[in-house]
Amino acid sequence: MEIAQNLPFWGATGLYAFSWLLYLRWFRSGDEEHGRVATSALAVAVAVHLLGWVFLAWYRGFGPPTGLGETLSLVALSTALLYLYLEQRTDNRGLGPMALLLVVAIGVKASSIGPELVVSRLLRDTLFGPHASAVIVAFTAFTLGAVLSVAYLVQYRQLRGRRPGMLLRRLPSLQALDAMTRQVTRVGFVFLGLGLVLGSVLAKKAWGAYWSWDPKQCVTLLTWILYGAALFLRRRRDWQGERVAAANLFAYSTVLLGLLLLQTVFHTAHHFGVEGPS
Amino acid sequence: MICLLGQNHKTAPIELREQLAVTTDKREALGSLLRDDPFIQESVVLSTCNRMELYAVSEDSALGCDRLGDLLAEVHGIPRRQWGSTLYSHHEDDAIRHLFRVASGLDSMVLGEGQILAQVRDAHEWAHEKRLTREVLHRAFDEAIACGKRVRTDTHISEGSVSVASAAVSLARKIFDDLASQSVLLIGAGDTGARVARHLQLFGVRDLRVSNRTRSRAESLAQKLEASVVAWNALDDHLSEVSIVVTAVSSPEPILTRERVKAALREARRRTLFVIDLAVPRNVQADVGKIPGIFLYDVDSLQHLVLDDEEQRRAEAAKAEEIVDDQLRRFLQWYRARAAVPTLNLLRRQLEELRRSELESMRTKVEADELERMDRLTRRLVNKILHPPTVELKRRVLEDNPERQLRDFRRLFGLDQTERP
Repeated sequence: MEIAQNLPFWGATGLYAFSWLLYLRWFRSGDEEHGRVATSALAVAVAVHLLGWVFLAWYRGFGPPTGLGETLSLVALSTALLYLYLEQRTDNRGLGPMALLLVVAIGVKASSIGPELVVSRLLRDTLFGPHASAVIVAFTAFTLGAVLSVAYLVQYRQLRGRRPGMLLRRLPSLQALDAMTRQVTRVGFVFLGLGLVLGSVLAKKAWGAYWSWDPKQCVTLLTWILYGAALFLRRRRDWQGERVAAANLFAYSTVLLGLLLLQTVFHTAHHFGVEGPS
Repeated sequence: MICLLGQNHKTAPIELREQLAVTTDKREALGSLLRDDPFIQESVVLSTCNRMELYAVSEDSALGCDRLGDLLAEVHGIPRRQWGSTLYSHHEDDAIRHLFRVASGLDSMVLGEGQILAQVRDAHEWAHEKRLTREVLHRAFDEAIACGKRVRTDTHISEGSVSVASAAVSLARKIFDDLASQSVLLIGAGDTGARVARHLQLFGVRDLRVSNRTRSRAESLAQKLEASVVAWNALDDHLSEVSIVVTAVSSPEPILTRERVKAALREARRRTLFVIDLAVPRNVQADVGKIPGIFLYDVDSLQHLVLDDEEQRRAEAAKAEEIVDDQLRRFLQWYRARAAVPTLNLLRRQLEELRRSELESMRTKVEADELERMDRLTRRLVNKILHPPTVELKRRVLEDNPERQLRDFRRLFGLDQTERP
């Protein structure tokens, strides 16, 4: 049990932190060999993380993730996976250090909460799996979108400042960063919408109302509206590039607010696991 | 022994390099002369626009170099005294080090440039096809190509911009993902602007528009670059259509003012514009760079980038030299160990003769089976005696002055006397 409890949490997070250091080493040196080592280390971390989940599921029975800890652990896993995919597709490791820093941060938070081992009745509902999965995919996409937006803003500033440094060699072009950001935020927007709808159906079953002005529900709706606005504004000529990147980052701050702050600061009915309404 | 006779951009001006350049037909002629020459066992001809080098293996490297000079004079029909002083020659380790440095781009006009590696590979392949190379140069060139590749992957020597034009292109590629879908407006028909435009075309730009106050000059340049011509008074319309603008007009007043660019952007579908101002005094008002989405670079800022990159390449050159040293050490290990082989064979032959003659003298004195035992015994003994000096000589030839080591070894075992009957 010890392994099942720790492998997808502290174990995987430790490995992510290690590969983050290797990515930083590559970022400094630019040595292709260093880059290959970093990518391999990340692949191992992802594999261990997946294996950990198989162990955990085997221990307490297969089913959707329960609790914030597990959800975050899956967000970290899918962010790392999605990053690896982007790295292979664009043949560019420039986003690695930033993406992994986020993965590590999410992993640390996930590990400090840990898994929920007792599953409440609500979570056994057939709709809960799709609801949780949609939200996880959305948050993963937004996380990567935030990384891409930071990369965009840094590179934009460097290029405008006329003294671009090391970053110029390591990062993809502004246009490519912008296109990738648009793709991932679109995915995130669609899936978060889906997650919200499924969530409100679940809420009707559990609390008797589709919408109950729960702080978490509200913040998530705000996130969805902000990303929708950012996507919509893109059509306008004067809302491109760095402004969209900044808007994305602002929208992402509400994701962090929803995920991290509300859990500890406010009392919310939208708890997972044993403490949740049953 | 390996020798090298050559000429490059450092030792000879272009007029002299042109005279000695080995063109395709001359290469054939030189190749057959080299193959038939009794003093030259192996050879490779390396000829690029910046260098002409002949590598050869000969019994005596000074003599080999001399022969190379003669053959070169014969092929070109120019007496040696006319260009003799512009040639350099290197021998043995120095020749190989030179080859490795050339392949690594360390001897190039533009430090770390990549073309030379392909040229070294071509020269090697051609010589191999024509059966000009054998063991030594074949291996030397293989190792040189490996060294060149390693330098380029393990160091940043070939990174960065080498000219204002390439700096402009690398910036454009950091702003736009695909240059093929970008339109470029070149304002001015001078050389500097044309060079940058040409570079952008090399990296994919297809839509190039040229505008000049004197339309005829724009037309002749547009013809050369396969570009379209834009009327001087229609600049504003095109400004709003393109994503890259190159200006190089000699004008005391700025041509692109903040208002003009802002107005153009209002019309534009996109708001990213890369402006390259190559003129002094500048054609673009400095505060154009403050408009969001505008990337404005003038000659100074581009030159700074080139200088920064050059500095970095110079710093990387030290790392590259270390790699050359390492590869050279590897090659010399093989090459010198190879030099020890004839001497060791001689020693073995001498001891074997000694053993046989001693055995022969015993033939009448002992029984046949005992003679056989003695044969086995002495054979083992000779092998055991030979082992330590063999190992030691192979080790010593890797140190400095292998010729002296070999000479001392021969003297120590009295091998020179046996050679002289």
